Amino acid sequence: MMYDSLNRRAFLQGGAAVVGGLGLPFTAQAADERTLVVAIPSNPSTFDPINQGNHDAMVVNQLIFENLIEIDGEGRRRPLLAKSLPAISEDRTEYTFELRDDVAFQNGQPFTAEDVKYSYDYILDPANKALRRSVWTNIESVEVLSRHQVRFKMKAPFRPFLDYMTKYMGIFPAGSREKYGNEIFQQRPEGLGTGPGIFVSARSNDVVEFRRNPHYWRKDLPGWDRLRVRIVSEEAARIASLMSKSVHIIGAPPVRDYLRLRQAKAQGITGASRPALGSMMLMIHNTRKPPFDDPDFRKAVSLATDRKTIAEKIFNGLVEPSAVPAPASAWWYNAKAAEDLAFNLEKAKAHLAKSRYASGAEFELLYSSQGYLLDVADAALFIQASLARLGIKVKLQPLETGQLIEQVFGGNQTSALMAVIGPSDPTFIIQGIYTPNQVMTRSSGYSNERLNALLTESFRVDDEKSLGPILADMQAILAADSPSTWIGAVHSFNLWRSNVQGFEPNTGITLRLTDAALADLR
Amino acid sequence: MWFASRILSSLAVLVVVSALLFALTRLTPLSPARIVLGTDATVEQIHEFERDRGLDRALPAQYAAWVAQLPRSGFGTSYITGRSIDIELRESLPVTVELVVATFLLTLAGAIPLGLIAGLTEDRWPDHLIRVLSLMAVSVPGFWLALILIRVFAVRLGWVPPIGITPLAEGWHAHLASLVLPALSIALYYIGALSRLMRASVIEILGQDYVRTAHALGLRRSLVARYVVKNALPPFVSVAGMSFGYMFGWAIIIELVFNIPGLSRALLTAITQRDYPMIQATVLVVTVMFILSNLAADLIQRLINPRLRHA
Amino acid sequence: MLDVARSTVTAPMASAAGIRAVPRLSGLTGTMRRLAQTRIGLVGLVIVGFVVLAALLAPWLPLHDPLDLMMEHRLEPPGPSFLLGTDEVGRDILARLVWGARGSLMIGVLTVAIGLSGGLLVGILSGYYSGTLVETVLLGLMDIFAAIPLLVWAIAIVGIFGTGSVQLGPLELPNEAKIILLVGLLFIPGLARVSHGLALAEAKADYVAARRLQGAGAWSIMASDILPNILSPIFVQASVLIGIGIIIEASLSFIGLGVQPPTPSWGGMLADARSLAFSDEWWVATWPGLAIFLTVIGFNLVGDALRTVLDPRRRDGGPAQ
Repeated sequence: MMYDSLNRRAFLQGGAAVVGGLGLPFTAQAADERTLVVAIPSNPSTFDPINQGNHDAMVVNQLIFENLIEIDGEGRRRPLLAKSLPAISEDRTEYTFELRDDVAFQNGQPFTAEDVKYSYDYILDPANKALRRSVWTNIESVEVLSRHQVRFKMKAPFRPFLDYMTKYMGIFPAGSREKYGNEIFQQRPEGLGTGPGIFVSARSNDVVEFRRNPHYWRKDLPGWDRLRVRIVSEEAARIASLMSKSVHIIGAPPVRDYLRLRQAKAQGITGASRPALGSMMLMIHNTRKPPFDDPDFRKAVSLATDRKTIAEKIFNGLVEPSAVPAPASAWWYNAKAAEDLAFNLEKAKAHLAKSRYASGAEFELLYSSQGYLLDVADAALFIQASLARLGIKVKLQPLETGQLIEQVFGGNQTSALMAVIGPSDPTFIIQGIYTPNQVMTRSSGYSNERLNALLTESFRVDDEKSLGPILADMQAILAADSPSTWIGAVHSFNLWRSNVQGFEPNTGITLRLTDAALADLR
Repeated sequence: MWFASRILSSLAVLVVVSALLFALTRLTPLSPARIVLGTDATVEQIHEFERDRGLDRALPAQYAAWVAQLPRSGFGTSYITGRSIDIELRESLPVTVELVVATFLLTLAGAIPLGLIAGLTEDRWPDHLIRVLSLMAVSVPGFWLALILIRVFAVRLGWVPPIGITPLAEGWHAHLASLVLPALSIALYYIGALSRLMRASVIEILGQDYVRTAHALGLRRSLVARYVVKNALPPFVSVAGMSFGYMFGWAIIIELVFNIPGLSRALLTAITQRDYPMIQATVLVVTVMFILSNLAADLIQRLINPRLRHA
Repeated sequence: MLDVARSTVTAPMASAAGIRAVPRLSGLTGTMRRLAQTRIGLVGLVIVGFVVLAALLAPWLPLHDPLDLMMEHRLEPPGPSFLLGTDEVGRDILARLVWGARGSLMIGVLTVAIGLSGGLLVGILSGYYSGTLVETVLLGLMDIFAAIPLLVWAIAIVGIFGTGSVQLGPLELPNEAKIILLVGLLFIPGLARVSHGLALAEAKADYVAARRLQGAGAWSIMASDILPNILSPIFVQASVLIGIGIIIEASLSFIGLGVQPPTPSWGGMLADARSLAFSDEWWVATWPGLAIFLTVIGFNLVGDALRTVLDPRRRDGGPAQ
C-alpha cells in the first residue's frame, strides 16, 4: 500500500509526462521473433574455450565451440562431434574416435581429424599458456589416422580422460590461431567453431549476441534465430527481468525466488533443479596464509560450520551437506571421515585452543557479489555469525565474479566461499585444488605426497571395487588436514518462462541452449 | 574577456583537482605491482614492474608524465585487465551521459513548472501540495525509490523494462521508455530541490516593490508572469548546472540498481579490482563533466541576465 | 545573492537563507523555542528526537540481538514476536533498524559538524578580512573544493583505501571515520560560501565597527559577535546537510563501501533486501527505506521551520503532514 500511494505521486510528478508522451506503452516482450534471451550473472572475460574459468560464462563458448563428446542433460556421456564413444585399447592408453563427416565450421571449412589434432596440440603446448592445460598433460600424442579418424595416446591409463573431454576444450579449425590471432578467440570468435550459435557481437558487462548457425550439423537445431545472453549481475534484476518477460531463462536464481517461482505457472514461470555432478560448495582456505596455516585452526572452522542448517535453512535442500570433498549420496563417500568433521562446537573450541590462534583470529572471506553458480551471500553471513561464537572475526568481502575467480586462481585469497564444478569424475576437484601444478593449486597452497600418489594410482583403475578404497583414503587424508571447509554438493537450478521448450537445468550448471526453443511468440 | 578568464580559472581548478586525485590514487596502501603480480612476487619483480611503469619516480614527476601522455595515448591501459581505459570509457561514458541528460531534462520539465506554480500561488493549496511533494522528493533515497519504481512499473504493470537500457536499434520509444525509471529515480530529488529554489526566487521577485506596484497598477498578469520567469531563471540556471554535475554521482548508484553498463560498472568494478588507473580516469571524467557543467551554467546565466553582462 | 545560491550544495535552500536582513535573535535557545511553536518544526523535532532517542537507548531497549541469525525464523512477517518481521537470515529487523540508526545519525551529524567547523572558520575569516589576500586565497581554495563532485569522490576514495581500517600516522581510522572525514570535508565549501556571505554583511554592520572602536580584537569580534549572529541561518543549511549525509552514508553502504556487515546500517539493510524487492516479503526493504526517508524528512522539516522562524516576512505555510 505504501508503495502504491508513494508511487502514484512520484509518478505523477515526473514520469507521467514522459511515459504518456510516448503514446505507446512499452511492450513487455523484449524479444521479437524467435529471439531467445537469457540472463547470466557474470561477464565472460574471454570467449576462448581453452581459457574459460567461469562456468556461468561458459554458455557462450559452448555455443560456439564443440567437443568430440558431451554430457547430456541427464549426466550421461554421449558422442557429439564423434560418431560414437571411442574404442579404448586393452591397456586403456589409446582412445580411437570415429568423427562425423557431415560437420563444417561456421566459416565453411569442413571439420576433420586434423582440426582435432591441431586443437589438442595447441592446448598442450606450454607456450600457449592455456588455463586448462594441466588437465590434459596425460596425453602423450594425438594421431590422425584418416580424414575422420583420430587416436589419443595416453602416457599412462587415465580414467577421467573422457569426462574431461566434455569440458575445458573446444575444437577450432586447423591453422586458425595463426590466421586470426588469440585476440579474436578472446573477443570476437566469429565463425571459429562448429556450434549452433554464430557470434555476432558483444558488449562487456552487457550482452553477447548470437545468430543461428544455418548450416548446423544437427538439422533443425537450434530452436531460435537469435540469442542474446545478457549479463545481469544483480540477482534481483535477473528475477525482475524474468518476471517482466524481458528474458526467458535465468542462471543462478536466488534460492528463495527459485522456491517461490518454480511453481508460478500462473505468472508464466517454470523452474526445476537436479544435482550438479562434480560440484562442491566450500571455503577454500589458503593454507600458506595465517590463520589457515595451522591445521587445528582449519579444523576448528570446519567443526564450527553447521552444514545441515546451511543446506536446509539457507539452500532449502539445494545443497546436499558433506564435510568431505565428495557428495554424501555418492558411492565413494567416506562417511567416517565426514563424521570427524561434523558440526561440533565443543570439538571446534578444543581445536582452536590447541592452535596458534587460540586467542582469536581475523580473516577476510571472499565471495561473489553476483552469485556464481549459486548465491552464497546468506551462507557467508551465517558463517560469519557461527565463527563469531568462537571468537573468530570474519570480514566479508563480496567481489565481482571475474575478480573472485582471479583472486582464487592466483592464490591471493585468505579464504573464499564459493561453489566449484567440474566434470563429474570423483577426483576432479581433489586434483584441481589439492595437488601440484593444477588450475587451483595456489588457492589452497596445499600439498601432500601421499595424496598425490593416491591420485596417480586412482587414474589407473576404473572399477568401483579398486577405486573405492583409494577414494576413501584420499578423503581421509584431506579430512585430517582440512585444507578447505567442504560444505556440500550443490544443485543446478534455473527459472524460465513457460513458453520456452526443450530447456532443462544442466548437470554441469552452465546453461544448455541448443535445444531451447520458444513455443509461442506472444 | 570574462569568458576567457572564467575558462582559465576552470582549467586551473582542473589541474589542481586532477593532481589531488592523482596523489590520492598513489597514496594507496597496496602497491599496484603487488596487486598485479600477486603475493608470490619477489621484491625484484616488484621493483622491475614499478620501474617499467615509472611508479618509482617522485609524485610530481609521475603526474607530469601522466599529463604529458594524455593527449598522445589517452589514459593508457589498465594494469589489471590489460584493456585500454579509453575504450572502456568510450563504451560506458555515453551510456551515463545519456542517462544524466535524460535526468536533467526530466528535472527541468518537473521543477520549473512546479516551482512557478508554487511561487505564484504562495500559501494557497497548490503551493502547499507542491511543497509537501517536494519535501518528500528531497528526502527519499534514490536507490530505494528505484526499487519501488521497478516493482510497480516494471514488474507489476510491465510498462517499462526493469533493467538495462533497451538499445536504440529496438525503436526509439522502447529506448526512451527504458530510460524513464532510472532517470526518474535520480531526478526526483532534483525536481524537489530545484522547484523549491524556483518557488523561493519567484516569491522574492513578487515581493519586490516595483512588481507589487505593477500589480497594483493593473499591469496584465501575463506580463508580470513573464517578468517573474525572466528574473527567477538566472539563479535557477546556476544551481541547475551544478545539479547536472552532481547527477553523475547518483547515476553511479542508480545504474547499479538498474544494471546499466555505464560509468558505474566501470568504477565499481575498478574499485573491487583495485584498478587505480581506471578509478582515476573514471573519476577525472566525472569531475571534468562537473566543472564543464558549472562553466556552462555560468555562461548561460550571463547570457540571460543582462545585469550581469554589464557588470 | 547569486554567489550564495551557487554555493549551496543542496540547491533547495538556495533562497539563501541569510540574505535578507538577518534578525538579531536571542541566540539559539530562542530559536529552538520558536521552532517548536511552528507546526512543521514540531513535527520535525519530534521525528528527529524520536530517532535520536532510539539510537541512544538502543542497548537498553528490549530488543533482540541485531546480529543474531535465528535461522528458524527466516523472513517472518511483522507480528507479535518480531514487530517489524525478520530478514533473510532471521535477524530481527526492528533491532537492526534501531542499532542502524546509530551509524546513520552519527555519520550524518559528524559530517556536518566537520563541515560546519571548517565552513564557519573559512567563511567568517574570509568575510571579516574581505578585500584582502586572505579572502582571495580562502575563496579560491573553496572554488577548488567546490569543483569536486562529492559522491563520486567519496565512492572512489573509500574504494581506493578499501573498507578496512586505515592507519593515518598514530591514528587508526575505521571506515566510518573515513566516510565522516571525507564527506565532512566536501561539505565545507558550501557552508563556507553561505557563512562568508553572512559574515560579510555582519562585518560591515555598525555594531562591529563600534566594537572595533572599543578596541576589540579581530578574533574576539569574529568569535563573540559575528559567529553567534550567523549561526542560526547556518543551521538551516546544516539540518538539510545532515539529511544529505544520511542519504550518502546509506548509498555508500548500499554499494558495500559504507558500514561493513554484520554491523547493522540502513543502507546495508537495503542492500541485503535488494534480492527481495520483487517477492512478497515487502517488509524487509520497506522498513529501512522508510527509516531513512522519515529521518531525512525530519531534518528537512526542522530546516524548513528554522527558515520560517528566521524570516519574519514569511508566515508558517508549512506542510505539517
